Amino acid sequence: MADDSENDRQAITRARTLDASPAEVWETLTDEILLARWFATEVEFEPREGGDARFEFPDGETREAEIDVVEPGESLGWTWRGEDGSGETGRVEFRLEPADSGRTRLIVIESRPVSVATDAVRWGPALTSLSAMHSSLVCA
Amino acid sequence: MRLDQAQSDDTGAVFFALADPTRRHLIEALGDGSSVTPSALAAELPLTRQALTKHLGVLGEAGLVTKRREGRETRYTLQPERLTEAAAWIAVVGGAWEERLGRLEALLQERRSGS
Repeated sequence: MADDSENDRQAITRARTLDASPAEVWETLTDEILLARWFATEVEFEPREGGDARFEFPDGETREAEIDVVEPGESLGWTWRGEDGSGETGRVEFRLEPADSGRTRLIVIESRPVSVATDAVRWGPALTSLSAMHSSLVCA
Repeated sequence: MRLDQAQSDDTGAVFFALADPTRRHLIEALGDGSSVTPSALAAELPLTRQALTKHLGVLGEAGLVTKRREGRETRYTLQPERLTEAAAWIAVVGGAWEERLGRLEALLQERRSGS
């Protein structure tokens, strides 16, 4: 669903070359114990299409997602579940590409439908720490 | 924890206000924090009084300037807190993933040296 509807979505892409093989990187993206060491603090993760994911972030916020792309060693994606159970919010997709010297190019694509793009609140977990900071700014 | 709608609208209003180059010039002109009259600004910027008032209105709605009546004059003052909030928004959105990917890099390195 990511590719055929990209025109209707806004995306932020980040990339980093990691000193590890695609298989090693894949493990850190799909193993819940490893995910809890870099992506969130507590993670439940079922790495199959249609699988459930649940992340707890350092500020205590919990977010759930449905895993919808699982191509081992190549790409992994999930769609955040709306807090009120309504439809789709944002997506996160990881793409892995072999790089020189046995390294891996990791591309992270965060996207969301343009229809909700004006709502800054729904922009995935990056914004949860934002809202924590924003609240602290507002309260200060 | 989420931004409530009102706060999120405020941040949106700031970015809308900043999207216009004329308004960014206005902010620069007001940047030293002193309170300025529209006539003083009109002398500094190639704008009609009417256009100036309109732009100052948008900045006011975003909370970026406040206005104060002083006798027959209205004086405008920049409210830099709003800019700080917008800057924090940008820094946090960009920074969260940077931090995350930094942790991922460290984890991969640790697993390599451990095996």
